Amino acid sequence: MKKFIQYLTDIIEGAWSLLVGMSITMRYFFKKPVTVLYPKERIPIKRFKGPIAFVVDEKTGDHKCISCNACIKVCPSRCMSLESGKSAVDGKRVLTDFKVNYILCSLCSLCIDVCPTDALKHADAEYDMVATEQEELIMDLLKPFEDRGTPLTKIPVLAPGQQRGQTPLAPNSDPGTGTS
Amino acid sequence: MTLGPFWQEVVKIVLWGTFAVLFVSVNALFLVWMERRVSAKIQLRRGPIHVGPQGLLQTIADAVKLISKELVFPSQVDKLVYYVAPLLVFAPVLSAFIILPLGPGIILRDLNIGFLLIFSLTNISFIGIFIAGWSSNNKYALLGSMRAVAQNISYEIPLLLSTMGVVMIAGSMKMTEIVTAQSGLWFVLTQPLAFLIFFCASLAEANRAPFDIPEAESELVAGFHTEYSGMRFALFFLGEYTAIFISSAIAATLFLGGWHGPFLESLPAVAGPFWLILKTYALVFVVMWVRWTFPRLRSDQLMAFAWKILIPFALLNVLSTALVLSLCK
Repeated sequence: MKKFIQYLTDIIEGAWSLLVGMSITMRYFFKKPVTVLYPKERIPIKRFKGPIAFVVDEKTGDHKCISCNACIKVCPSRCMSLESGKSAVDGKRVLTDFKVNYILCSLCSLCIDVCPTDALKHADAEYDMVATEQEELIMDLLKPFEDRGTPLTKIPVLAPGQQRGQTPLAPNSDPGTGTS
Repeated sequence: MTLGPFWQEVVKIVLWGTFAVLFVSVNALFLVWMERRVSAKIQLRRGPIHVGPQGLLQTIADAVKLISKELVFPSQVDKLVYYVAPLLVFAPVLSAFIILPLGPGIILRDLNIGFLLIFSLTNISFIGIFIAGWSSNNKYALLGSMRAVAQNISYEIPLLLSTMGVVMIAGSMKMTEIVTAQSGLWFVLTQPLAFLIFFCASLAEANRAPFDIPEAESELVAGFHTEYSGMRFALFFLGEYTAIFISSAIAATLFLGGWHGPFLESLPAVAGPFWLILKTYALVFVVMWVRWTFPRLRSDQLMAFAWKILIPFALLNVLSTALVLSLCK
């Protein structure tokens, strides 16, 4: 008799466990899939060290660089270059060119740490960068902002030796010498 | 031009057979897609989505690949038997379309032994499975086929016993009469235990997980069809998925009211097939749901489940149904 009760309780418990299992898989059935359709969808990966890029200011849509040269000085592989000019409006320093030579960059993050305005970051969604030419890897960080025509890139810049009040040149007329 | 009754029958059989073969192929392609999508959903994946709308054409692409593949002929196989085995597995499951009542009057042959004939005919496919394993000259194939036969013989008993309650209430083995008897209350409500037993046993009969030890991938490579390739393998695959569909369709007819549905009763020619196929696919979904939930049973657990649990409870169900029926008279 004891064995018979054991037999029945085993069956009931077994059936219950089956139901629990099936309810779990049904719950998963209605969850969102975790798959990322990679070439079509991209997700930023936190803590991934992508190529150096400018942080985009959420309010102005502009970069935050003040041309202080701190990153250039700290860079151990000397892969960064920066050029600035004087604004024809108020005489402040204006960034005219910022290039990173990704061939030399060792992704040490020192430039990001040293930046006083937190203007630099690792691009966290660019994890499939491919280039066939060395020129492609010399990255112009200012170009996306110039293409969009953000306020900071439109400020007219004085030519070397020119004084404020004289006829200003076209914005960012000095293309810079690039990196070496 | 009028045909004689003999030729009318011939035309009917040819049309029905063509329909059955077409339906089986399309249905198998759809079921493979459905299985992959259901398993993907359960495992938080997406499954095939690139080929065609929602990946529906993926299985067609797979079928084209299988057809164009070389038919490898392993050395030292028993040639005749090796050729015949896939046909023996696939052909009997087609026979179920003889008695499947799609709607009132839409049935090829309303035999008075009904589903009993189908269960006997589909057992021929186990001979096919066994000789496929035997003729392949491969130890995994042989082991898989021996397991398949042992399993199918054991589960045939609860499968048929569980249908006895339904037959006793309906008073007939004819498929149409069983469906008519369910016009009020479906048998799944009066015979819930029988339905569960039938469902478990038909899972085992179709070699589906968790009863898929004949083709246990982790132990036996691919079981009885290890040595088959190309279209011969596709025939086994087709037979397996059709068997799932057929056993679900028979379960829907016996327990879930067949062609009866809550509405659309005014159009029996449309509503009948619609409700039956809807119920069948719902059951097929449950079969897939079960497969992707439970791990595979061990061989001895499988036998214990059949002989120690399913058969006693099926007998109990038969006895109690008989008792209630004789008391109500």
